[in-house]
Amino acid sequence: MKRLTILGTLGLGLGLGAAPAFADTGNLLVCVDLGFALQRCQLRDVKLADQIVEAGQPYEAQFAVQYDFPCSGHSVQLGVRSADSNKFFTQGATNAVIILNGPADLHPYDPSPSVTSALTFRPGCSLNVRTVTVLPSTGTVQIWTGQAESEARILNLSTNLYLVSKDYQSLSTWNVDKLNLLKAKLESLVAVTPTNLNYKVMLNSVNSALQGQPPSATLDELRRAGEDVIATLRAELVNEVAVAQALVDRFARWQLAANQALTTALAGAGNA
Amino acid sequence: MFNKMTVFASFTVAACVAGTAHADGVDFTPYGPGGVQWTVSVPGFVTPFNYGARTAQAYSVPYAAGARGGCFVVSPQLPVSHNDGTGNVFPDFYSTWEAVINKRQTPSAIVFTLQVDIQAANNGPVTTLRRQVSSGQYDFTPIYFPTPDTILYWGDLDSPLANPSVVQAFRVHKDDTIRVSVCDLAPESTIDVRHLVVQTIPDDGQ
Repeated sequence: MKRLTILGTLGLGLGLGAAPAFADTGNLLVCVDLGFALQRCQLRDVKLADQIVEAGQPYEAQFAVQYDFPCSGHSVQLGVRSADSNKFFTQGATNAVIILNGPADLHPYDPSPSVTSALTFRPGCSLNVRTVTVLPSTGTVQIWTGQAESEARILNLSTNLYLVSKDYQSLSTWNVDKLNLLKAKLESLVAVTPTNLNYKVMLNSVNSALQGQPPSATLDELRRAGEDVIATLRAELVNEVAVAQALVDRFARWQLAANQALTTALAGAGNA
Repeated sequence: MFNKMTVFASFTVAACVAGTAHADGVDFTPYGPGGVQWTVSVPGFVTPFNYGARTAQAYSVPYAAGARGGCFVVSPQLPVSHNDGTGNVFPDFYSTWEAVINKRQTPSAIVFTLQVDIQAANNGPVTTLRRQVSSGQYDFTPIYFPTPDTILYWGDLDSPLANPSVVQAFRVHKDDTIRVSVCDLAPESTIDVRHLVVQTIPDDGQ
């Protein structure tokens, strides 16, 4: 008897994009070779593919596992697993593919190692994962699309607020919607930073405009307040542009079509 | 006048072996839940004595006036990888026997012995079981009356696989190894050993 030594090349790759994340595991089935049969087989554990993690958040991946499992003798259930999801290889198959959705790293899976080790297989029985291709699952793409559309709305709002704030010297000419838009934002700024007097001055001025009255602040006070608010909203806009660009980049990295609403919102922010 | 009978070997190919036999002469098929049936054919036989000859179908030991002692067909050691259970061993063979015996007696000589050696795990102790195959199990015919009180009988036994008359049953334990032998062929007998078959099956299906 001789114990088979598996010298698989474990070229672990980062599972980005649709390119294969893992190529040629070598034989994952490690057995005692009796010459006329294989016994005491164990499924070797390797990381077949990385989970999808974006901005520190794990997302469900769709793993396409291409494999060869030429093996006869006893029937055995071996497969792949990602967290609680698993699927089994077809015994005897060559160049076959199974698709599995899961949120965690992908590993070989043997639900009953003690049973497997008690089985007998014909010489030459082997299990080789040729490639694993990682893509965001349909559910993940839906989540990302929702995030993109939400970010598009936030970015559009941030752009509008910034554009509105830049025009603070014409408060008296604004319509009610425009005034209310800035008023709501100023109220939240005041709530978050009650010590900032500039926010309060601008909020008072907007309230005066809504009541059809001139601002109580002096022109200098109003100018200082306006520039402070513009700087704050510009900083917020820059931050939102960065968030939106990261989402667009994520679509590109996974070879998915960019979300139209988000790219339009980014273009609008760029013109502001 | 007595004409010595010429025995022609029966080259019936056993049909129970699934798949293609391997070059080393040991094949197996799954047997029951978690069990294995090993089938050892001629290339897998160990033949420590020169009593016979290998053909494509059998190890053939020809007629001889004297006895052929010792185990002349031996299998490789076959492992039990499953949990404790039961085992059966039987040979697939064709054999002839002849003898002059008294009219009042029934043929009951020992023609050959089927031996099973079960070795416990880690080169543990060996348990040896022996089952003698008697001429009484043969299909025999009175050929000639050498004297008024004696008869020359000739008989043959073409054992299909799993013939209950030659099955040796025993207990097996995980990591045992099993070796099957055909031993001690009687005078004026022949045997063609085609296969040695070992079945083991776990009690719990694993």
